[in-house]
Amino acid sequence: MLAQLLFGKLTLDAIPFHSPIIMGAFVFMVLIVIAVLFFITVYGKWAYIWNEWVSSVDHKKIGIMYLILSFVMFLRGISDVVLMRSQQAIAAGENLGYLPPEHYDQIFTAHGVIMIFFVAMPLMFALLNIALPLQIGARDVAYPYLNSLSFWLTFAGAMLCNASLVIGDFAATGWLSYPPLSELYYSPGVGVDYYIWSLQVAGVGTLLAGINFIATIFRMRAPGMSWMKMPVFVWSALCAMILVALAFPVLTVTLALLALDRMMGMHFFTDFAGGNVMLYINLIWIWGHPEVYILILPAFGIFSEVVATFSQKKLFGYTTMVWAIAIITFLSFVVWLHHFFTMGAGADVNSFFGIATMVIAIPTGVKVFNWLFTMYKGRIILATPMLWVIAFFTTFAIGGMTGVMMAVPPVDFQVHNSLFLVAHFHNVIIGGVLFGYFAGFIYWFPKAFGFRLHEKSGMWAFAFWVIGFYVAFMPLYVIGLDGFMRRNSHYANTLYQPYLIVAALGAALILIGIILQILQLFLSFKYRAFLRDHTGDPWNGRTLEWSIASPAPLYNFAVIPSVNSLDQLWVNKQLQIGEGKIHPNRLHYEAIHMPKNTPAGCIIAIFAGITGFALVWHMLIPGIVGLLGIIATVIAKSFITDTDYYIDAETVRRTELAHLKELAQCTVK
Amino acid sequence: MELESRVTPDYGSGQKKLSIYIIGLLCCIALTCLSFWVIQSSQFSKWAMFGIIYSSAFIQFLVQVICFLRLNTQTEQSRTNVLSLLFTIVILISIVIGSLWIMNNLNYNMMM
Amino acid sequence: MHGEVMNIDEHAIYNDATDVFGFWLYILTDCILFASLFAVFLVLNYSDMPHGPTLKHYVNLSDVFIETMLLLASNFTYCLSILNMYQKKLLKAQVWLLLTFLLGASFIFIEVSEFIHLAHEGFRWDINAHASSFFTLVGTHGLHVSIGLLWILSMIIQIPFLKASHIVMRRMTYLGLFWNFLDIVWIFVFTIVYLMGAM
Repeated sequence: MLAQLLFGKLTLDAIPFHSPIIMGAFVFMVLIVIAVLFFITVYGKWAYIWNEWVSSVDHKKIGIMYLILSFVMFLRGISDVVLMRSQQAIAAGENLGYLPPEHYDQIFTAHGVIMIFFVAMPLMFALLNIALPLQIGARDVAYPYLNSLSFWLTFAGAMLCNASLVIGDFAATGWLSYPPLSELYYSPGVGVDYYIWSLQVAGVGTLLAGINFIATIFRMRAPGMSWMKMPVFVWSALCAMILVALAFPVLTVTLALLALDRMMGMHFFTDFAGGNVMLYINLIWIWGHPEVYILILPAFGIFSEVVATFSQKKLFGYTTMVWAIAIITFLSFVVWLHHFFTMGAGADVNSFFGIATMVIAIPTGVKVFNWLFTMYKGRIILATPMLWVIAFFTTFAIGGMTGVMMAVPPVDFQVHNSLFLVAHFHNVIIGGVLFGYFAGFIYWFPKAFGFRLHEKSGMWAFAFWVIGFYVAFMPLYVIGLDGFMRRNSHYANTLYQPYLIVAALGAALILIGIILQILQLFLSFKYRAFLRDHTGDPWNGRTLEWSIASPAPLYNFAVIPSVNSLDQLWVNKQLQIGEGKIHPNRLHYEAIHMPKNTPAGCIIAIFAGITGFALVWHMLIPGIVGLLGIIATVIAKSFITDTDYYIDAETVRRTELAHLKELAQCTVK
Repeated sequence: MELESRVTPDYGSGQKKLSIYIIGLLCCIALTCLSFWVIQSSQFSKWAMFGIIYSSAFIQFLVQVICFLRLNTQTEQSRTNVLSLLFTIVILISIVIGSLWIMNNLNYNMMM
Repeated sequence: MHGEVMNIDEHAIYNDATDVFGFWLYILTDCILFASLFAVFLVLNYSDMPHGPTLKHYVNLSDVFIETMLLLASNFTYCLSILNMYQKKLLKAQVWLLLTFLLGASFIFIEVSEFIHLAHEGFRWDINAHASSFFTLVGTHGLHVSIGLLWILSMIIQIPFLKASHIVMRRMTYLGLFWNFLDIVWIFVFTIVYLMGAM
């Protein structure tokens, strides 16, 4: 009886000892974890890790932790790609390949969930955390403790997803888990439950982060930085966060209703007793469409920053750029039906949403032209961030065009759920989101870590990625038009096979690109002294984050900057105001108010993870313990009043003088 | 007044006054009683009942927002609060009406 | 934004206002959450033929009326509590908070009794979509109210410890927004679920 309350449905049978691939992955993961724990112990860094990183409420450190989470989960997502592409390349005609359908289904589901929720979203939040407060001249985000909680909740969700690899199964339903397949009758295992609860936990983290950044942008801008003097990246972040705040509650509700169907026998999405399967699809895409705009808008913002900086020219059409972002934001809430044109709505409904979808391409086009006009007559520097931008132009344009094609319902009826669709969304996500985030990562890496990334290996990685992308996905457009549907582990018509072999080759090229990126990280770390960013401004930037040291000091700005115009730093440089003219001894520094670190965010997330796991396996006692733990931690934390401290003026002065000295030495050289 | 505004934060809400709370309470009671009475008495047509209870709900919503939440447009922060509420309501309406339109359309075409 | 650099007190005041704005944003996301539940409720109850028992047969409007009055009264007593906090009358504030708690707890008591009664009568959450959407929508509101009750208790306990510090005033403001918001959602619950259900 007690065992039932403690362990629920969990038994040793849940671990798939018979599957070599999974056991191999498990052993690999365990070895890595043990290695990491071993090195931390040997170097005596437990206190450091706990006090400086786990408990950190500093946006710069939280940004780096998001980066690490994103890269680790990216390896899992890419492993799924290798498995899928190799399976499809060989499983033609009589050859069934090496992955049985049940396993293949879990792989493409996990691939989608991991890439969207645990790679792209964390990478976005990483870049927002690293760059945004610095760009608006703030010392931190509006709610540092909440920032920490958001990260750890995302981490807990990712860990739940990872646990599903070894303890039980993951969902085998596709990344959006449509009913009735995801209902208890057709998915009796724990897979869909893992899906639901890992996303619910991570989703709460994301929602809180959205609120955090909206408040930060509204309330924490430097004095004088009015709305139309903000960098475009900040505008794009604001609109993306507004989308987060308005769309994620719908995801929370939809997944909760699915959980209620599965756990309490309710009838929201069942195909009898009044349930409506189509309602789930309607709701999930009300969230799903804004979600893709949440991903792309910050990428657009990054493009604006990078294009202006590396063309050494003011961004063309600032006002129209801002309006375009605002219009895209609003329109992204009225197009969601284009994801299910074929579900059976009438022509009136389909036409409305089809036209709205086509309209949303217009402000996007305005933005692309503005970037091109920025480059025109600029003095272009082809550093790696700019390379990614240039690759984005063509790649995203192609992806966008296929999107507009599918916005026409009759066309969509032909290609819905085919590889044409798969090629389209990978085209815009990789070409738009990923290329943008890569550009941003390289662009802001020096600000976060104090040294630039190794350029040469970066360029090779870029070449393999871009060529690999086209080789991997253009064949999919062709056979998609020819009728090849998505999510097939095997196909009878061997005439498709050459295309899929080419696609697998493309995936291999991308894999080489990724290995080169990992190599780039190693080389950059190895040569970090040589690549050191002495000035804090490695790219001759235009915005405020480049006016402080790299890596930024704990307090960001010793003196909160005063802003009078757009691209204030660039204006200062033109007018030669700034470090060159100021005598260090005459500067006045004050004590700076900082929030104290707290492990509460991590502790709450651990309890949330326990609750999620307990819900998956119906473990009553751990579930109650988890829930009570969350509540107790929140209430206990509220009684703590010692939550901040001051950095004394002398420490600030010393830090600033060290930076000025490094600057001076660099100029002398 | 000047000192008070330096001492209390600008939450973007109006001044908290007992009189306004009482007015709000009485209006809400009246509107609630109206809605319940309209349904209980069943002397109205279906559409009239519909119209009255929804209007009453909407008015009570405004009363609560203005009298209890003290939403106004006096300061910059309060205007921000109102603007964010309005935008949320626009999206909310689009989600609810959109879902009803789509689901009705789908049900008609696919399930009847 | 501010033209000059702020001193330390102004900073704390500005941060408190930022914190309350963030809570207001959270309330707006909760609006979307409830809106989705309302959309689900309306679709599953009004866009198709009934599939089994509906609420109409079971609804007891007098209970709902009492619940509405209780919640409305608790909203008012909470406002009185905040007024007293601003006037630094801590004990009175705690008394009004306690009253708010009792009124809210009575609301929950009646609601839970109603749910149990409905379940006994056969209108269980797992018999059809009408019941599922009813219990989930009204239950989610009740869950929010219950969390609010726990929060009210925490505030009652916290006030003697932290006094009328700016931290407590800020938290009272959050709770006020939350509690008020729940009453606003209830307006739509009783109108759309119960009154329309009884029509």
